[in-house]
Amino acid sequence: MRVIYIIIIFFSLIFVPYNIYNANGDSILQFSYNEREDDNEREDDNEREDDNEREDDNERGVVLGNGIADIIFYSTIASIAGVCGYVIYKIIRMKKNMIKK
Amino acid sequence: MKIIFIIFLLLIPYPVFADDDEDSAKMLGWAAIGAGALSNITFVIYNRVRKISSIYSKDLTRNLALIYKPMLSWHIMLNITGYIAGMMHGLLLIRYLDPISLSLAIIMTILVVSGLLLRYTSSRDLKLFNKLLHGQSVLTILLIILIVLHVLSADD
Repeated sequence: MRVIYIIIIFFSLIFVPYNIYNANGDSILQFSYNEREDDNEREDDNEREDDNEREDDNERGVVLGNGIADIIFYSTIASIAGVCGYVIYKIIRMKKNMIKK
Repeated sequence: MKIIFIIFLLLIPYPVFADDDEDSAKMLGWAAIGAGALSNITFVIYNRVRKISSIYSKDLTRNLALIYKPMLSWHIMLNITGYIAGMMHGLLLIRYLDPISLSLAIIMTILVVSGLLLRYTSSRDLKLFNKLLHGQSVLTILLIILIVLHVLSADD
């Protein structure tokens, strides 16, 4: 039963940040950051500049290109799931061997 | 006394390079990498030497076994410091979040949580699960690859 709890905790650790990241195609935190920036700068000219800056901010950081970065992210999730599955399989096998003995 | 020491360790990265907001946030990332590298490399070397020493000298093995607990505490404390510094770095630079950084944060969290559960829980099943998970070389290799990719992609 405790193993199940741990699995749930680990999967929630994976999916909670992932959902935050995917909300509206951006991070929720990033969205609120941009909103705050907009509130402070009310002039039209500045707002137009902000839009360009916001686009740059979203593009910055993903140097490898969206496709490759996404593949890296999904393969990380897949390898974590794989490792968890392997560990659970190993524990079940060990328990079975102990019962046989 | 221990708690005061841990709190002191957490404060170290902040005043070091606080020239500019973004620069200090970047330096937190380097502090996290430094703390992680220092604690893990020394702990791995110690474990290797301890295993090899059993073949050559019993005295050396006994002496090394005596410092196991301090070494483990060093490993835990420095890694937690590095983890908090890394997470603070991530939160301060959240607008540059990309899939690589997110993967890195997830891997770091899994390794730290499994390590803490391994050390501070008494349940046998829980310990077994976390021992196997914490020692998986796949996760370690993935962590190193993601750190390298993060450093390479974040500079631009």
